[in-house]
Amino acid sequence: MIGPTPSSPLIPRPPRPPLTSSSLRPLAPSPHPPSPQHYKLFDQAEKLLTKTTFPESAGATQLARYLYYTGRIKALQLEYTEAHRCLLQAQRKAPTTKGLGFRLAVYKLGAIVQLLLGEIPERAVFRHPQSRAPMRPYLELVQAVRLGDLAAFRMAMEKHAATFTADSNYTLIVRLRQNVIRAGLRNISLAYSRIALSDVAAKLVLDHPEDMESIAAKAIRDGVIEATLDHANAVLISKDPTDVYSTLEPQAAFHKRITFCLNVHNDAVKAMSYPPDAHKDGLLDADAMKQRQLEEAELAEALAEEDYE
Amino acid sequence: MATRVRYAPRLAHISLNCCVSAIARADLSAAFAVLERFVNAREPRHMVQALRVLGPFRKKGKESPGVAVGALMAALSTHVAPSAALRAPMLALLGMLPQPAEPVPAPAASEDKDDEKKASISKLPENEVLVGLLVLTLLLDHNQVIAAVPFSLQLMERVGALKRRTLDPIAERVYFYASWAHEVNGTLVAIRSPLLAAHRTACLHHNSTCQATLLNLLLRNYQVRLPPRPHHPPGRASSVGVSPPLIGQHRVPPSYHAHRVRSP
Repeated sequence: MIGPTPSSPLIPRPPRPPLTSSSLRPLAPSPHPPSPQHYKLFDQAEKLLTKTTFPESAGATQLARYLYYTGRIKALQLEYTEAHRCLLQAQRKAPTTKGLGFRLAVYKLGAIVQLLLGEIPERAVFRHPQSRAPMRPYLELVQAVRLGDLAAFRMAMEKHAATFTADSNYTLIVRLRQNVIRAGLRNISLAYSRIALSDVAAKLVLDHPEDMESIAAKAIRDGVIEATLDHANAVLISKDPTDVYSTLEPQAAFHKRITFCLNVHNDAVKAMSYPPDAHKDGLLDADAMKQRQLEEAELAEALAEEDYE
Repeated sequence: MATRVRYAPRLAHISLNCCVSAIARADLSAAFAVLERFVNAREPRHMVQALRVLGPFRKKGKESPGVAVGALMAALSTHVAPSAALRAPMLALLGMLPQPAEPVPAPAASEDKDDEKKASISKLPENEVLVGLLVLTLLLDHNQVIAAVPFSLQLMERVGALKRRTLDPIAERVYFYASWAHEVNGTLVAIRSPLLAAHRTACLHHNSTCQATLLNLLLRNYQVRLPPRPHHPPGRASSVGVSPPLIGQHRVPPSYHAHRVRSP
């Protein structure tokens, strides 16, 4: 239907809307989130990032911006750990008193990336008097994800859809739905040792309850919950919670903190500036050098004479 | 006493206006003097000092555009070479903005002292670009985006043609405001290739200041989703097609693309 069709030259056929849409799409720079063109431009931006290097001598504000844009690209390309690292650094490099708009943009994106990583953002950002009101929609999201409340999540999304779209974060927030379901599933698996899958679906208020089994299976495979599925009876059987301290979890947590501290240390060493020509103070001027050489030569001669004697 | 009270506000207003415009002109002259010192001595602090004029001048331009236009016109006649490529377009653009209340004082050429003073004023290309940057910010602040977009491209071309490394810190600002003008106008695609070309040049020149700014502008250029432009009527392509009654989730309505086809 979409391909070229023979038509009479006298009676021009109006092109079908899908054709218009598809033929104009390559010319459009960046349409709404659902369109694939949006990602295409991010691909181009990512290519630019790989081909270029950010100059080291550039100022802190430019570096903060660069880190923010890099963080956004990485987040959209599912590299959440890298995105989180960039955004955390951007927060640290951003000016502390000025540039509230930039800081808010970084905080908002940072909160979403943290949620996508399965972490809960710090409360301080949502409580600060300057950022309390603009961060309110994101606070509702965080609360919904933390409790695994799918209904609250849906309500927050519908209520603040315009804000999220204006912040260009809507695409990322749509991805959070899976995290909400997983958080809810984890709470249920902790509370019940044995529960029917239909009851789980009812508790989670899923749109399609028939998907519950596959969602639970995926969660078990990813290690979100410790449980088994009884397919014949359609029941989720939770295992006894294991002691976290017998696993590698604490080691991973410590490793993360140590890496962060080492990065801070390395950045501090890099940023340390020495006063110009400070190293030259210890050096002697030409006359003093000559005098010293003469003294050394005399000493050497005296020693040589002593040796002969 | 009553008479003084009646006439005082008007007199005060006139004298205040004169005073403000004189201060604006003096600020610009001081900036040009520091700029000249930077060109001769290449000390970065002089350039930083010269660029400090931007913030207060923009503020002044927002409060009383006539004063800013008068100061810029005076600067164009005294500190920019008559043969400068951007002089005529800048004068034309300044003509579009609110004009100063009192006429711009013409430089007196009768006395020998003035002649000597005039000869001592250097008309560097840096002055031309700085005035261009101020004109661009003034246009943006007064919503003259349609005029600002082609002028910003002209200014970028001029910076590229001059090939002076002393222009780097001003060029950085020029790129920023040019990109901003295009973003406000919704034509970010049009500035993408000039920005890429400028970035390539900056990389080859090891010009880290412009390199960092241009890389950030390009990343923004790729990422920003442009808002639809309501002031453009729907085009022919979209008027021919008929929208389907139900549009799938992944299909964008054709009318959405209409403004983008025309935008570059």
